[in-house]
Amino acid sequence: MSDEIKYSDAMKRIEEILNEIEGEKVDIDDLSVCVKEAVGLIKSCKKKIEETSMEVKNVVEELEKSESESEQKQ
Amino acid sequence: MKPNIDLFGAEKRVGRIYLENGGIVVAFRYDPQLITLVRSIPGRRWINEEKVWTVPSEQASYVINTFEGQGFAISEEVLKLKSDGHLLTKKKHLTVSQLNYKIKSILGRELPQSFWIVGELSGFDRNKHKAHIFFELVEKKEGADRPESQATAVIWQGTKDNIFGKVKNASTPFELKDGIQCMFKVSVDLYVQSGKISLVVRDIDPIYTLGLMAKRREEILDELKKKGVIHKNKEIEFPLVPLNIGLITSYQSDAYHDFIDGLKKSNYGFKVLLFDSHMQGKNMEKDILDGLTLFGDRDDVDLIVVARGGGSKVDLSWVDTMQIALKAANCKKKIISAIGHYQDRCILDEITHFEKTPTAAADSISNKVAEFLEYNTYNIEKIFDVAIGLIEKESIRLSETSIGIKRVVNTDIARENEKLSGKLTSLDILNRNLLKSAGETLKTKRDKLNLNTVHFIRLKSASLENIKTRITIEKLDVLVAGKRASVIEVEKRLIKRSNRFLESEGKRLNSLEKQVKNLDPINVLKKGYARVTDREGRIVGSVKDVAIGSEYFTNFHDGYFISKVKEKGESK
Repeated sequence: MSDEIKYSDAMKRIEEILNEIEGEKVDIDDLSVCVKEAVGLIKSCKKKIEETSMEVKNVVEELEKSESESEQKQ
Repeated sequence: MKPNIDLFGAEKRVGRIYLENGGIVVAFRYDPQLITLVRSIPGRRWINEEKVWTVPSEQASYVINTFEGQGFAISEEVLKLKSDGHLLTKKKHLTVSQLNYKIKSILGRELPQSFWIVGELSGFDRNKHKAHIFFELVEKKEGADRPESQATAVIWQGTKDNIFGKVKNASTPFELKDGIQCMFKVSVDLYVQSGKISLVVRDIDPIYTLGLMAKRREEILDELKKKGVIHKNKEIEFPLVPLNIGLITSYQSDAYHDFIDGLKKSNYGFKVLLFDSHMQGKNMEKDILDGLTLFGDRDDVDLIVVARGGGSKVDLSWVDTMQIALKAANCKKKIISAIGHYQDRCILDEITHFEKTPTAAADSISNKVAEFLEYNTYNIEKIFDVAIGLIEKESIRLSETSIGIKRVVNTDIARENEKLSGKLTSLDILNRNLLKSAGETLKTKRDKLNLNTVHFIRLKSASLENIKTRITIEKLDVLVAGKRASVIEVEKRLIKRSNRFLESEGKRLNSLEKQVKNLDPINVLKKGYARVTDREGRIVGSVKDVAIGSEYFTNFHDGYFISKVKEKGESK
């Protein structure tokens, strides 16, 4: 879920940058910095999503542990 | 003794019992019940030619006891045989088998050949893989554990396929198992040998069970509605980027492969945590509950998928339980139900996000991730477009500015030139050359300035063009997801360098202006500097132009002297 927060942050920041640039609030000298930031964000998102290979892990062995935990909770 | 009248009141005699050739003859029209009875008499024989049974005369008492009350006409001779003392005992009695046969025949008469009965299956599971399935049909009061009444039942091997087939091919297939209510067509039989009564299952009506199941589903859904949680899970937002998936399914099943292959196809870096669960039978409920509990609490799970086999028809009533319904409804994670079945939907489908198949579930998850990427790629494209627009605007502004600079510089120099020309007319002829050379220097400076300005414009424009190209490349880069991490760095440096150039160019312009002012020859000569010329009045600017033995003029602001060179050297 920690990744999840980063994704939504990335999305938010990209939208912010877009708004700043569209509103011409960005100095021409900072333009490439902004673009760079946006590119960096989307690249890291893409990288995480596209460049990681798929993994499958069987978690049944963890069941007993979680069972005892849920019993404690109850 | 007169034969009794038929129990059902049929006046008609069903057969006759009489004496012939010293033996007792039992004659009746074909009736399986009566055949069962006659077969119980020791020493009975079937005389095929005459289509009658014969019994030794010693069995007169047995015969009479057996057939009394069955509506037979019994001859006086036979009755006499009994009273003549062929009896072993004086008291009227039955043997155990006679009793059982009697009960069997009563059952046969009292009950229809077959009838429908409803009851709950018990002891079914442990026998269901045997050739003949013996089990109990029980009747329980609602909520009671112990049956109020029960009966032994059997499904013979011969009817098994038919019964199971009907259940399997029902509109919503279910499984015969302990605890479910069924409506069976049965006939009652008593086994003479064991004295046990058993219900022989002939047929089943699946609609009865389905009706009950549907009713139970409705009840559960109503309960969830009352608790206000029926849409609770459904309303959980789809995670923005659901890369971490808790999968509840049977490992290596079709569903497992369909789902995993579906995700793989997307080429995204999904992380799947698998909870290997039974997806049929009595363990299904517990496994799914455990899976939901486990994944519901895990931080490394974005989304839970419950998947089962590619559309095979099986019983889903296992999961239509209140426990699963409540667990799923209150689960913190969004659940996708891809249980893969035909018509009726199960409770999980109703209260969670429903997908028809595991493949469809995988697709909808991949699409969600793709949506995120697409949305951001769309944003990035927009950023690039706007950025390039800004650069173009800046380019235009720059070229306008630089034209301005050029104009200002030229004006400055022209003004200085005019000043110099003014001086020229008023100055001594000797200074004419000096002024001329100052004018030339100015001209060179001007040309150089122009050149520099042009160069600056070109450079700055080139730099902007460069940024534009870089940004365009960057855009392509993002769109094709290649790697060009350093491009932006280079581009940033280019911008900085251009700015520095612009600054230093400004400074140079200032110093040139000063230099131009300092070029006023009077000012220079007054400072103690002198001007060296040859006899032709040409300025000697370098020791290299000086020849030993030649004479040169040394000019001050107020006069001159002539000197002859004896020796020369280079400054250190």
